[in-house]
Amino acid sequence: MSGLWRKEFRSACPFLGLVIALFVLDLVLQVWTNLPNAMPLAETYENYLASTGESAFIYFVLVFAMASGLLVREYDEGTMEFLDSLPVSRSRVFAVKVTMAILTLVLLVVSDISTGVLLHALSRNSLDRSFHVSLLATAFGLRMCQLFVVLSLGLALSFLRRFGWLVLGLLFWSFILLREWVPSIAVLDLFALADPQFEGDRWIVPRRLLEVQLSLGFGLLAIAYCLFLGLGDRLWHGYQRLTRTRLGNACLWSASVVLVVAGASLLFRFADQEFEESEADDNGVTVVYPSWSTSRSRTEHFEFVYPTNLNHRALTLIDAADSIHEKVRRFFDAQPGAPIVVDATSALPRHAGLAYWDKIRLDLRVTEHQETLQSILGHEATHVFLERLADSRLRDHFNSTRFFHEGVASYVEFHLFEPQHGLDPLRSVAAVMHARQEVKIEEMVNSQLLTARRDTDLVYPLGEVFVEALVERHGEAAIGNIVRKLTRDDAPKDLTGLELWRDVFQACGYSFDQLLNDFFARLDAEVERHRALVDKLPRLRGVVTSNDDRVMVQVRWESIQGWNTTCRFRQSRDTPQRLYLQGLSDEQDVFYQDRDAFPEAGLWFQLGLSDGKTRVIYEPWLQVRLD
Amino acid sequence: MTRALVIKELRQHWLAFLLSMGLCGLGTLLLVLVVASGDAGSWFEVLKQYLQTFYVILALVVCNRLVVREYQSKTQLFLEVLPVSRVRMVVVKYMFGLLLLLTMLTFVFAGLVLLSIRSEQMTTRFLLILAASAYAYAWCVYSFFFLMGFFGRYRIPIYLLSLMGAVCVSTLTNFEWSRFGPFALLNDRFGFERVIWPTEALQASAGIAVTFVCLTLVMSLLREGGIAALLAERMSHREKVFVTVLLIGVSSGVTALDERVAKQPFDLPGSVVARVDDVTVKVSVGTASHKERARRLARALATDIAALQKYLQIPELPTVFVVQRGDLDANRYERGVLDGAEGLLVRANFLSEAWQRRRFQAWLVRELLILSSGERVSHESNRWVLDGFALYWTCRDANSQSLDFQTLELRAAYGSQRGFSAEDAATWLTYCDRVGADIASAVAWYGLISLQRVQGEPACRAFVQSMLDCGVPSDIRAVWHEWQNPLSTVMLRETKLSYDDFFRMWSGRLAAVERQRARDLAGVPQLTGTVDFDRISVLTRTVRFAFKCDPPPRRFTFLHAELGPIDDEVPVSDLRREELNYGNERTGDLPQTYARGTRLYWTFAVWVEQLECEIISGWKRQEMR
Repeated sequence: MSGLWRKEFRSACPFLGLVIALFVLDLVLQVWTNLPNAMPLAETYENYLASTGESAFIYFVLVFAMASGLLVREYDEGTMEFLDSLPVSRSRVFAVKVTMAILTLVLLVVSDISTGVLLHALSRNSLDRSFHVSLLATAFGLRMCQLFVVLSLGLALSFLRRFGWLVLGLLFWSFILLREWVPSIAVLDLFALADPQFEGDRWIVPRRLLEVQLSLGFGLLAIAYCLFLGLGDRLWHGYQRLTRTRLGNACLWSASVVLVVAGASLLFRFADQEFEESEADDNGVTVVYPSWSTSRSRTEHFEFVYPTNLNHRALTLIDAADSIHEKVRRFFDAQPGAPIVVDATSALPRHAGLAYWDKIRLDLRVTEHQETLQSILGHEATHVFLERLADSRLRDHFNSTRFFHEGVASYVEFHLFEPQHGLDPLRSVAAVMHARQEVKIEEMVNSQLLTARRDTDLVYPLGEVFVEALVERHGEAAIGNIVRKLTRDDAPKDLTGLELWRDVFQACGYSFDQLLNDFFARLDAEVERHRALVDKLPRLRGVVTSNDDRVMVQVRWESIQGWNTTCRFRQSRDTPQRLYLQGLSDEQDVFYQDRDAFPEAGLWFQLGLSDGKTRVIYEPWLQVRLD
Repeated sequence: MTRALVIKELRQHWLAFLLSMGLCGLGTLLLVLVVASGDAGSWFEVLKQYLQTFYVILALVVCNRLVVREYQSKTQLFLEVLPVSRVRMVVVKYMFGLLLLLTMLTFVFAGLVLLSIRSEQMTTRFLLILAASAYAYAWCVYSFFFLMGFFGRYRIPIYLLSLMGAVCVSTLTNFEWSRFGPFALLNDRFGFERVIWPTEALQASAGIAVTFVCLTLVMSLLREGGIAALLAERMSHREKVFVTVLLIGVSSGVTALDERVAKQPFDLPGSVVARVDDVTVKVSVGTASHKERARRLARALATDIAALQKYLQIPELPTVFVVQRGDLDANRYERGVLDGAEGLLVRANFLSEAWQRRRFQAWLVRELLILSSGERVSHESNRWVLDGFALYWTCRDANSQSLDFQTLELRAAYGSQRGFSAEDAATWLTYCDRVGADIASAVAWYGLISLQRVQGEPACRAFVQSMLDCGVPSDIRAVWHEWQNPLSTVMLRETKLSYDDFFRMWSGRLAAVERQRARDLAGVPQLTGTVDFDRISVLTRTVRFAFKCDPPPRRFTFLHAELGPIDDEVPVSDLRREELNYGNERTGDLPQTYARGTRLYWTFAVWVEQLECEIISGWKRQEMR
């Protein structure tokens, strides 16, 4: 038996060496490049106690790779026969292998956590002398559970050899797809298990996640055990026998055909759903769906594809399209470039238009009003011109440049197309947010942070005010200058946020910090201009309750005429906007969602005030803990 | 014979290939559904995703079956006895695999073309550009994996080394992989570009693929295929350990060399510049009419900082950038974030009527020393020296003594009245939380003044020079330096006074000044406040506050911030300030909703004219239960 342990230890040596080397390397790097006595747990717990984002992904790959060879190597290298000849059962071999793998995982997690603890020991101050033992224990427990599930998954899939990776890919994409339709599938998100959710200073154990994922982990381990005992051999031999007979081959072919037909049917069903006929909804409002048949039209600068049933809207827009293009081109003083393709064939659930490289997707359903459609086309054409000017590099820095992208597009939209009265509602949103001390430049230049804390759509009003301040100080040519400097050959790589913007402005000979002064001065002025609205709009409070079926938010506010409350939910801080769950309501100012949609220890909700037209002014996101 | 070879490959691998292709087909259907439910601009996004994920795995599987397994199980020896050259054998395998993958790709491509017909403007040029990009990428990727198959047991270490090499090149140079060869073919324009051929990327991809093919032939023919056969054998344990160590070594090397291409150092274009000795101060004001004020400020700051540099014998100080910000209060300043030691960027409203230059200077000196020392001097054990020195330095000249000295003395007396012990000096951050940063700084200042008066200016200077030494590197050596030179040791060494004696003298003098200024202190308001958390549901809370002040002020401030799970210093920029009227707003609610378990950091503050600073009721950290 001890020989078996020694053998497994020898096999695990390279991996153990890797873990120890990574630990030492990280520690040396930290103490050699940072001040080690200025890194308390308060600053490092996300790196060393939690396992999220990139580090979780790296661990996933590492553990999956370890698991994929742990059991099957004995079969593939023909050493299983040697093991069978020893006086140990396969069950015992399996137990030793899995225990050794788990011990390796323990070393991995302990090395990570101990780095954090060591740095904390050097950095503790009078505000926090504790070593937070219960926090460390929870972190250790949850991370071990997470890695155990990954290990089990790897062991179960390892019997598929190379196909295991293909199946993993399928599982990944299936999860991504199902997440769009079934929010409760998030219970299978392996990365969520060690994503810390705190109540006070306590890390809340996500019970639902833990129950489901540990069950899954043990189930997968049981599968791996059965396969290791010989079921895998038998299945494989049976499979090979099947391929040797005509009937077996026919079965395999039939199964393949059934698979393809089922997939195709699914696809057809999806396509069929998208293009339903137009019908009136409960309120008697006729919703116009784009028809399946499409028409095409070409102007000097655009190529339109649009649904035939929206012919009239499209043709009127097409008539004005070249003049819109000309206005935008003149604004940037740019070459006309290749024709822009406008795909107006499908409905866009969250946008009126979307821009890509030389292509625009436009939703003709949003309005019959031609001026609005033209301004949307102008807005999206501005994005196309910006990308052309930047040689598509603005998209490379999308997180940092989004407010600028949308700011310029909104500036063009409202100054060249939409009459000025359209600008007022937009500016009023900026004014309200500024009056509430919720405009932070660090968030503006980091779209993910803005989305996580407030509302992604704030990039439109805030960006527009920023661009107007820029144009006022440096003229319209400044926009083009900035975009060109972003793409300059000697531009340093990997700059983000404020660093990026300071560098670009400096390269133009402008001062970014000076412009911020103008920007905030302009916001102050907007607050004064919209003082009546700023003072009138009440703040919203949400009373959250939950039971086994639902999570409910009752909005407390002093209601005002013309404004309604709205509420949306999300599962985690990083949930993409398209996966937000709109609060359902069957009672005034009370919103709810299914409890199952939030398998983690907490949920996020956001209240907003809507004027029923274009404005929704949101409160910051708030996380409440459910477990 | 070629036909026979193809049939052999088909017989041997048909099931594995069919299964892989079936799985990839299923994966493609999934991708179609995922793309349809997102915001993609084209159905060809599916093709991009397919090429980046399933195609790569499929190529890996196919090459593994065709090459690795053949050589590993030594079945190539059977082929070698056939009347067919080794080149032909390899070429047949290569072409067989390539055709298989391209057939699958063609199916995916054709399916997507059919899907896109309704919404895309399909021109021949567009389709050709798209096809050329996809097939060139596919060829390149397949050739790479096919070549790697001949490296047998070393292929996985080579994958990892290639990855590290790519990261290394990307980190150490300005080279962008995303704009090179096969990677550039699948950039943001894939599926959208309909006019411009990605000529460079196509040429580079083709060049790379041809190179891989040539290398494949070399590997397979070298020593009559003996090298490939040798490499195909399984790795011994020693080899595994050696490869692991090699990989770790390379990754360490990459990490150690990790230096970004330097960007242009930060500057403030159009700013007013003042230089005194090695010190540079740049002040940006925006409008030409205020340039003169900016010039005066820059000159004054540069002179002051140059003197500080000499006094503390700091070898080098970063450039100071001051930006006018009209939206800030006159007595509040913000420090901007600049990478590394590019300079100290501060924002202040120096055009305001209420602007106090000396107050700003004290704040600036403190921030400058923190930056120059890489934050070493802000460690809690020495923090009082830093806080006290900023005031000590600013009020060092004769002119300041009459007015500023008295104000600071009164602040110190107030700090003493709120209680000050040796424990407070050792737990300085907690003391600052109790009395406020301005008051704590004055107490510390009084310590330095007392030291100067008792032991003389040179001893005091030597002490602060040692404590605020900016020459110590800000890494593990700084920790070593702290261990070797604790405050008590430095005190004894530089001033010949033990720390205990010094503290007795310091607290004694504080008590004395407290008695002397008792009448002034009687006028300082007494602040008390409470915060309660109202339970509006099991999960949510609101915050209710009540404030009392004697004598009542006109206005007061409620400062608060949400805390993380672990206590630490709260940056000033995280604080929210609710400016309120004492008359009708001394009790009230915060407008936000809070979740149960939120930790709130709060205090009340009142501006006291006599002290020329805010006093606080004391910071509290409370959890909403």
